[in-house]
Amino acid sequence: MSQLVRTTITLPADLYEQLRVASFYQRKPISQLIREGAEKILPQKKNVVNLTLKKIEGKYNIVGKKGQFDRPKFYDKLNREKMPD
Amino acid sequence: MTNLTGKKCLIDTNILVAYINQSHPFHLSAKKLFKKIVEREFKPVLSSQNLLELTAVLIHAFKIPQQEAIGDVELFANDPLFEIIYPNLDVLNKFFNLMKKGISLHTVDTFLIATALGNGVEIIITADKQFVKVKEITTIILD
Repeated sequence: MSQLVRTTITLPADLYEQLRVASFYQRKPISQLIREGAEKILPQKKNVVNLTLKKIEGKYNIVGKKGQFDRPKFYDKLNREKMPD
Repeated sequence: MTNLTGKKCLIDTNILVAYINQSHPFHLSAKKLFKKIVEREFKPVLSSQNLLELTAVLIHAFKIPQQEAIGDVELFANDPLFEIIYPNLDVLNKFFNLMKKGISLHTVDTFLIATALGNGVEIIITADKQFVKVKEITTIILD
């Protein structure tokens, strides 16, 4: 499990009561029951797809040095172009 | 790799280029990193400098028409997964201090580090091994 974060949530009294009873019978803390419920309604990690980023993933096919980025070389080339000897 | 869970990490321009270019030697590594971003394993941060550099690479090196290049860069800039950071007075002072210390990086790399530090970002993910020399920021090298 990843790092835990403490937070405060507001629940209707009857839902809290149901959780309290479930906690007793299932021998699990209420916080664990809430975590399990949250995990059910959130997308599973393995299925997460970001369609925006997928649009640009490997969009171009530029072979060689032109397809890479070296910051010092990039700016030095720019400086030479802007300030010729 | 260092445990990045929940931490803010600056994604360097070379990673963005590797992600967008399928022929880049680090393309597969960049894809794996972006999978972690999408799965929210850490908090990815981009600086305005990264976006400017990516734009320049697309237009001047990849020869992509300007409108299309900007559309690509906007996809990164507008994706809510990324926090965008900008230089401010604190960044400028950090830059001056790093330069006075005699940091052994190219000036523009130093400015990027200052932008990160000035915005509370202490990790950079990059393909550039030069950053390892810098003590002020934790460097994760993409391989």
